[in-house]
Amino acid sequence: MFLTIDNIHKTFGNNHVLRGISTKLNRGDVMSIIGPSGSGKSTFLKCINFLEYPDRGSINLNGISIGFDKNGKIMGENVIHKQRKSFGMVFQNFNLFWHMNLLENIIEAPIRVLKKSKREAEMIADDLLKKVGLFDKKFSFPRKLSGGQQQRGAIARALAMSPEIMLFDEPTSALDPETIGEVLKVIEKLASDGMTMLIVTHEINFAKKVSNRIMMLDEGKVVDDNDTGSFFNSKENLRKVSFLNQDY
Amino acid sequence: MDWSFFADQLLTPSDKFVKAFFLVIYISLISMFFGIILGAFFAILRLSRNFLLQFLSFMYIWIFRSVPVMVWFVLFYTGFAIAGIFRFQDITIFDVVIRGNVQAAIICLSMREAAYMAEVIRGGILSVEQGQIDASKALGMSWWKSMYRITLPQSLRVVVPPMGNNFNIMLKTTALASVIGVEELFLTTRTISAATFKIFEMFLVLAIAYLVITMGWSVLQMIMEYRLNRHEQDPNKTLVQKIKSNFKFSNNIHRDGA
Repeated sequence: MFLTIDNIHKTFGNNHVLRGISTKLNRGDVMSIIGPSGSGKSTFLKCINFLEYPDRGSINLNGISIGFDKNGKIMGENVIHKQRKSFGMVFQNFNLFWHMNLLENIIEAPIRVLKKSKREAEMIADDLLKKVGLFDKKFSFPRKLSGGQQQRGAIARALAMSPEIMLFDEPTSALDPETIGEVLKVIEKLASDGMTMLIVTHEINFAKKVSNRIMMLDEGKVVDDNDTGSFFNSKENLRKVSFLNQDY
Repeated sequence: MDWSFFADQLLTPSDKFVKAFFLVIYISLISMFFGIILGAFFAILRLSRNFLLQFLSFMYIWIFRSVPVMVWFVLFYTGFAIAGIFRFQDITIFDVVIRGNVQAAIICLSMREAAYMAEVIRGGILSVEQGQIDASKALGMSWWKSMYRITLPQSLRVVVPPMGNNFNIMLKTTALASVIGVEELFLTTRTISAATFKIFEMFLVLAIAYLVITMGWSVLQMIMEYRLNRHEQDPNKTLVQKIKSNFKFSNNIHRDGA
């Protein structure tokens, strides 16, 4: 297995947000995570790269235990921050560094974390900017870009670290309807390139189209975790059916 | 009022006065430099998760903001020497003699400045959005890298205006160092005016000298704030247009995303 997540628990105070979530992914799998607000989708995603520390459980990427040592204790931040670079993350609010232009945003971590030369990092950045269609905006600052452009830039920034897996946390929720498409297209292209991805999303139709796996969470538990076809065809689970049949 | 004496002192100040003028600038700059570094250190301690470090920083800020700097001057320079704890000696660096009382002044001013800057920088750090820090962490940056590449630079925009305020106050506070005999502008002016009895004229010259120094600082601060607003400027504008628009949004409270 490429990514094995086992029995993740997370509490905030008295609030038991994640109640034992497990799943397995093969390399190249694209899994969409859906579910109502407050179901723990985003927290689950953040627990995978330890932006939030899970209370217990285990995460294994390509044979390497992430965050937890052999005894199930959480490792030091100095180990965890090195492990995070295997995971590319894209946020709902883009979070491009506003004091740097697009190019500087993309080359920052490759230079500072991967110790690449500036020249090499810029070459990679140019390729990625072309891939997401922002090459002509490379000297623009984030606040001068539209939401869709910022999000595509944020995807390029995450890809510049050549991560093994990409985590998307509601990548289109903060976008206006007109720019959602351009971001989804970029994600789709990544999927067809064989990138392993976990996508928290509200776009059910997009999830259906882009992913081969769907996981539904509700109240911190897995409601269903299946390949896309079976997920939408099986109708036994009432919670799932009522969620999918909502009329907006 | 002796206008010719006034004009004479203003346009061709004595060597002593010019020396004092630059002494004020260099004491302020050095103290500010150490004040900022030490201040950043205490701000970070104050924000750490360790209660002991937080408390240490809190105590430092409390003590150095509470006692007047004039008291510190006398305590550190005269008091320490008389109690036999420590005596500031003149030292020579690159053929420049730094008097013992100047060293004491720099140390006291730096420590006081650190207490004020710690609070300013703490406010700046707290103003940085969590999302920016999350993004830097997700890219594999360590706590320290994220601090000095993302958090501190982003906090500058909030830190620089009050820091300018502090520096302005610092320039004028050097006058208090006259109590330990530092020959800065105030003491020098008093010496000259006592010898000539031209108190009004001399102190008018002194006031103008302070105006000139703070004016110089204002220009520097303007350039700094202009640089910090780089991300909001249109790269296609000319320099003059950029400076003009910079002035505009310094006054614009409706700037988005701030």
